[in-house]
Amino acid sequence: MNNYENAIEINGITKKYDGFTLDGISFDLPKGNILGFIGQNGAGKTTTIKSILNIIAPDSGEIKIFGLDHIKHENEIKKHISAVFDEIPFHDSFTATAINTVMKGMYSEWDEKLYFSYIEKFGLPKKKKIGKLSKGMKMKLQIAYTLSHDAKLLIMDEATTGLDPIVRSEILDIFREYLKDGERSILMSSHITSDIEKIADCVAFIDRGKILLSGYKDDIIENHGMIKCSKAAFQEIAKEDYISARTNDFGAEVLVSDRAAAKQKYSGAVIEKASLEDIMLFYVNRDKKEWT
Amino acid sequence: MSSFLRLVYRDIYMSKKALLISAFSFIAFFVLSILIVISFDYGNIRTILLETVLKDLPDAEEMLGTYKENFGFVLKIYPILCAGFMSVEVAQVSINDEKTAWKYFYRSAPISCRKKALVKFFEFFVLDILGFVISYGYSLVFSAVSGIEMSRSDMGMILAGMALGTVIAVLLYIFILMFHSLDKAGLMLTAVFAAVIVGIETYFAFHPQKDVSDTGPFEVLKNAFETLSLYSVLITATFLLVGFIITEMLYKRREK
Repeated sequence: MNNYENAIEINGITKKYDGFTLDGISFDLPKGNILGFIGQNGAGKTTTIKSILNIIAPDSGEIKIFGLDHIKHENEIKKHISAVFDEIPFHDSFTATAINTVMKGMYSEWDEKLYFSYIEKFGLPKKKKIGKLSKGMKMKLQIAYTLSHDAKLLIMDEATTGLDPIVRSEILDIFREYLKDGERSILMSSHITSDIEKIADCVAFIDRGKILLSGYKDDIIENHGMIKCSKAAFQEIAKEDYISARTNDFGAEVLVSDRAAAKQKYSGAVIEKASLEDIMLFYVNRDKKEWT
Repeated sequence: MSSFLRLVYRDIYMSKKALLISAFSFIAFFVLSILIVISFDYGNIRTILLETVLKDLPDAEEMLGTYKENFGFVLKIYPILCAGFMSVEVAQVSINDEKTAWKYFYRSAPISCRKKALVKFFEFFVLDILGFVISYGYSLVFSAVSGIEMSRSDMGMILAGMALGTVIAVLLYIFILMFHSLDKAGLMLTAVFAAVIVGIETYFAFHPQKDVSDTGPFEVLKNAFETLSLYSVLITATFLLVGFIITEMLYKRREK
């Protein structure tokens, strides 16, 4: 593969369905980074991922993976990527050993020794049928074979959904380890923003088929702020200065997209950093402007 | 093991339970059919027929032989169809694939659409051959035990079983790839067979055949199998080839 700057480049991807449109989706995943692709259920994350994997055909737009056109160089690209879904793609009758046999046939770079070392590391049984494993063990098994053919790009669609916090934390540690060489990248879609906040370098936030925010996670969190004030004080904040506000009987929480500017303009207000979850929640309610 | 064979291994691994049940079913009926035909020579069936239906008839032994031959012919149909339908078990794998994320995972793997289609049709072909060998072997054993010589209609039945199994397997597989639903695929398959039957009936309505009222039903069946044998190999080969081409096209197709 040629030298490339971005593992994934998506430019203007549009896909129309009845009642939903993926509208001009654009973002990049720089090499060696983890991009958290966040959005609520039905926002368009899976549709975007399916476009990247060439499972669905977008109506317009361009996708490049490793600097190569994702359709023209499909087979070449797919030797170096690995997709992880929210459920294991193998039938319940398979075992870890049988999966090894199949995967050897799918990837020329398959490393059997590495695979079984992951199996041992994760404490997974080699000969137990998948149907008898817990959800967490199934996901670890998926990750074990995903990481065993030197994939340069992992694409994970809601891979940590439904897992308990301990298993999720273990999996995130594994990914951090996997990216250490700087040559590998991960696109991770999730609606669990706490996971993304822990691990992602970049974030792309999608809502109702549109990318609302994309960029480095730290920059996004640094730029946004949460004004916490009384209801009376809230009335003095100009509508164009905030994304949306959550009000209750005691006061208001107001999300602003430019914390520095808000600090200057509303110098008396308490402005805190917003979490990714807050950012997502407040952007989703942006049309309402004020909500409870 | 080559990468191609490893992909075949995956499908066979998933079919192993179904294939084992088919094998058990085949063996059970094989043994039963042998026992029944032996009973015509030495057992209760002989005794009952000679003491009731064929009692005091001058050509009782000859008629018993005819009963045995005709009944033996019918007995052979189930195990031969069982062997012929082995390839349908592989088509069933795709039903399981629709229920898991396999279809997306397979899509994300570096395997060309042609190779994917080749894997499937290689399996259909191998199972057709295996089914043919098993059916032929069974017919030989049946013939040796029963003393009834193998005839052209036996070969016709074997080839017809293989052809019918191939047609159902290929069509079912293609319909599942098209509709991603077993219900819709089953409905389409039923519609196709209904159309074929209606077509045949319509043909014979406008092209009456010679009067067969004085020919026994077994003779009609045997003649039909003999005629079919000429076309069965052609039908099998055509469905495998055309099915392969269509499957490759369907694998290339992206979701809407």
